[in-house]
Amino acid sequence: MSARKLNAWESAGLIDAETAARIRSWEAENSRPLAMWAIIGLGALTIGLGLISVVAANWDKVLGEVRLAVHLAALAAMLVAVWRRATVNDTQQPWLSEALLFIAGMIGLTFMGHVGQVYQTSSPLWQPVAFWLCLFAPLLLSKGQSWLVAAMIMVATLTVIWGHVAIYAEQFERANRYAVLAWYLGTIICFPLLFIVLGTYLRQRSARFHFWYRIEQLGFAYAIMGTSMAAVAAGFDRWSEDRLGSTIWGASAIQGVALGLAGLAVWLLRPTQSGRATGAVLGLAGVVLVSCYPLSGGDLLPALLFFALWGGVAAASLHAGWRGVFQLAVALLAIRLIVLSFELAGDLLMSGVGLIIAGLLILAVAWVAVRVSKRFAPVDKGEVQ
Amino acid sequence: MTRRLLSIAALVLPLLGLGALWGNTWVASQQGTLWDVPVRGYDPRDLLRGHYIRYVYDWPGLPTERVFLDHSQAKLCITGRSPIIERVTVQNYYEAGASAECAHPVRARNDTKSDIRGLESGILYVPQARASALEKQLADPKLQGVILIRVRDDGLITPVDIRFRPRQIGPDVPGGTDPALRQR
Repeated sequence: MSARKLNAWESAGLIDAETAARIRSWEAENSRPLAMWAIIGLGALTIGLGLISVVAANWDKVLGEVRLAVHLAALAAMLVAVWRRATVNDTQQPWLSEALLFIAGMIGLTFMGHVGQVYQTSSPLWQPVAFWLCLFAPLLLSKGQSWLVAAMIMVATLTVIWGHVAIYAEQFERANRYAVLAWYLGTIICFPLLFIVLGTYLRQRSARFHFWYRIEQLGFAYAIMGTSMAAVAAGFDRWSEDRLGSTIWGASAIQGVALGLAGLAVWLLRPTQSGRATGAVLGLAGVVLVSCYPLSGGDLLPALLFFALWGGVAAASLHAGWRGVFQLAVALLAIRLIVLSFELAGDLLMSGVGLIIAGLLILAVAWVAVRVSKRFAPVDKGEVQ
Repeated sequence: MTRRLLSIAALVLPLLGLGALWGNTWVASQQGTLWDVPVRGYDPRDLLRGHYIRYVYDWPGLPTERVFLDHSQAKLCITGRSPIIERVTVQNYYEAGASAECAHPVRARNDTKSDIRGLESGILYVPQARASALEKQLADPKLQGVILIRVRDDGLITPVDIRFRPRQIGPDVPGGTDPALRQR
């Protein structure tokens, strides 16, 4: 707080002399010796960087077991720090607990890579990440405060799921086990839907509302993004009608049912405007996903699926007051509309007049989208309802 | 009280689990039989991937063309006395007549991509300081790379170290059938 500013405000008549005096005395009592803290901090940082570079330069010469022991000790120290934060009342600095938790998680994750380096073992990425999730999930789920740890859990879960699918889907296919493959793809890919249900259930019952809100939000985003991708992919080509094709249809039917069940659960667990909107969108996504296979190929029908999904998201946003989501939905609808116009009239790009018409069309759609987005976007009701 | 205990358990679990992983890996690293296997670079333009040297095994006694080795069911049988391999025979279902009696079987991992840990090729973690020297040696036609591998009792391979010896050039020597080398 600068005295010069205070004098300027006082002379400009923005604050009276009494207020200025009160501010001065409050500042004098509560000021922190920033310059001194800065110098101490700089010194500590320099020593720390020096230590790190000395260790880093000789890291490879240190015996593997010693390195691993140091690594594990660092994890232990971080866990002790997490424990100490948990015992104090951390409503003041929740981000500090969150950061400590995140760092502890990262140290744990890198430890497995470190073991692999020392003993020359290697395994597909999903295996260590799955093991890490088993070890850290109780801690992260019981102590997480905000989006950082929620995102960490979500990214790890998706790494495990899609890493597993990348290896085993091919193996089931090669072994001609199509029924198993349909059930496998249908269920494993839907696992993050449990996050939605869990987050919905716990956000009102736990003291850590923000954490469970983020968990629910991430699961919801995964469901809608996944369905959108299926709807986009349905526009590329007619999905094959051989055994693999019917396997994919079977899998998407299972996923559609799972989406519907998740939507029903949210609808029942959270009978607010926002909860009902979330549940309805999930149900809609289920219908869209099941329709992707039979409607694949062609130009118009897959586009209509996409419009149905995101039109539903926009309507739900209006109902529930999700401002940002509404604007995203309008933008995606506009982009898909432009793409559709090129799909239906591909020769527009072949002539000069066509190019002009295409350009005008894009501008018109963008203009309408921006107008709609500004005029009709609901006032954000925030997350607490 | 129960809550406090659960909280402590959640904090201790990562330490115990990672400690157990370490112990388990250490025990596995002490078991099995050691063998020397001649190797060559995976791709002369791209031997290093991050910290890892990538190489292809030149199993003694096997022809250079052996696409079947990247199959997840592939099995080999080593004949010899550790660490010297006399010859290696194929034991997978492409050759059903192969002997079921094998003192030192080696098999591919079936849970990963074939180029990572099959019988065809592998990767070895090397420190940054050693990496560029190793890369040059592996690309040197006068040197033969030899990987010391550890074959666990279940037949899976873990590389231990890499070293080099002068290469003998001739059709009867592993890796000696490489036409690029014979032209020199």
